Amino acid sequence: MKRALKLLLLAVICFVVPLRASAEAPKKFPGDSVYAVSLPWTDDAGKKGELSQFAGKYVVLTFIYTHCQASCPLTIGRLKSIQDELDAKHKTAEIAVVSMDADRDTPEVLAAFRKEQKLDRANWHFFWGPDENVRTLSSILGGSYQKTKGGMEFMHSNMIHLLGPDGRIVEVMEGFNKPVPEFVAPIK
Amino acid sequence: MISRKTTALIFTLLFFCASAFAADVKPTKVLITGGEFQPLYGLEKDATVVRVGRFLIDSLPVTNGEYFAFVKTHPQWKKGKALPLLSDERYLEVWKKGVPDAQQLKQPVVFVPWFAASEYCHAQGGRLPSTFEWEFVAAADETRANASRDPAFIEKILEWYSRPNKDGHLPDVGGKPNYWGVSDLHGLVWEWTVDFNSVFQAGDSRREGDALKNLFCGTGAEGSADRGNYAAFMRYALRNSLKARYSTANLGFRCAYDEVKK
Repeated sequence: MKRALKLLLLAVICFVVPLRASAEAPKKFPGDSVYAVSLPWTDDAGKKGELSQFAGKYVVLTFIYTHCQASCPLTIGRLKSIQDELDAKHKTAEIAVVSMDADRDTPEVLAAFRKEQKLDRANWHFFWGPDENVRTLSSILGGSYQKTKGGMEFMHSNMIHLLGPDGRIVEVMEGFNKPVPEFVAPIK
Repeated sequence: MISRKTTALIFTLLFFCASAFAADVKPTKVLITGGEFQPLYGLEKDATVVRVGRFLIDSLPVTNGEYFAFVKTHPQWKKGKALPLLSDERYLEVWKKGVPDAQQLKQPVVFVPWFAASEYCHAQGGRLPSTFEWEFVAAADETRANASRDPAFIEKILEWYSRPNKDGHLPDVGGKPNYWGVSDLHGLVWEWTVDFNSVFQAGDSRREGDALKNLFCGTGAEGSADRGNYAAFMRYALRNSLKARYSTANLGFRCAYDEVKK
């Protein structure tokens, strides 16, 4: 029991403490790596983490909001095509989907969305984070979003990024105009 | 005639009082009671105005002196230390020795990326103003909350936009306050807003390319809500040309704050 408590404490120290040191660069990532900035997220299972937890792997990264009527279903569809292409080429990548709707897309809502969409593969992750973190990440990636209809809808850039093992951006699909095989080609 | 000793003393005082001087020009937070206004872009379909709520905003742009104090406590933003992910090579270009010189302390800080501006404001318990908030306050002249329909007001702003900035030296902050008691929104530096990059025309997000074309085409101003305000059009065009990591001459910022409910 005591051992479990100690482990829990250790987990808290190792996990929560580094999250507080926002924008201080962990030395192990290059200065132009997306992982060089520490931004905490909570995934759809309620687990806290950062994108840098995927360091060493390729990451397909994009933004959605689950109430989206227009282009987000297209985004999810495109992510599925990317997954199919990965499977066909025997490649692996983590698929990280960040919600731009910090007010409504709580981890529970994201979990329900995932279930409803049958996106149950273990390499798919849905993240919630405070609005300022979403804005920082989207600015790093060169995208933007804007609430409309009193916060009911968002207008946003349609971008999917591919991050390399060190967190550097290796490929960008903008507005769905890049063929999927070309997008996943850099994955080794 | 001032003796050499006195001169030395003055310089020493100047040097040691650098941060005190900065404190001297510390901006006050001005309450903006909000209201409706017609932004140039970003209106939703069928809407004619947007509502801006109550918020507080710095009466002055952030100065080199104030930014230097921030850098001292946030070493990740020292000149030469900022992450390439978050800043470009022109970061704090006018701080020739890595720190501002005495002359620059009360001048507005420029060559700062959005990320740094954003973090600075968070460190002050605030945030960057939204584009709507900024434009709402900037629509005021000295006597009227909304002078954006007055050709003479727009003319004055355009005259500043066309004036080249001499050898990178800017005047000190503290120009004549406008209707709200806010100074230097026009005539000194351009300013970051939190959502500087989210200018989309109302409509489908898949047509954002058209929105950009509308912005950059000269005739684009015709499609905007306020045909007469070419000065506002220029600000939207500038914001849209920026990336969050850019450090640019004449681009500074000020902070806004949510009103603390009593």
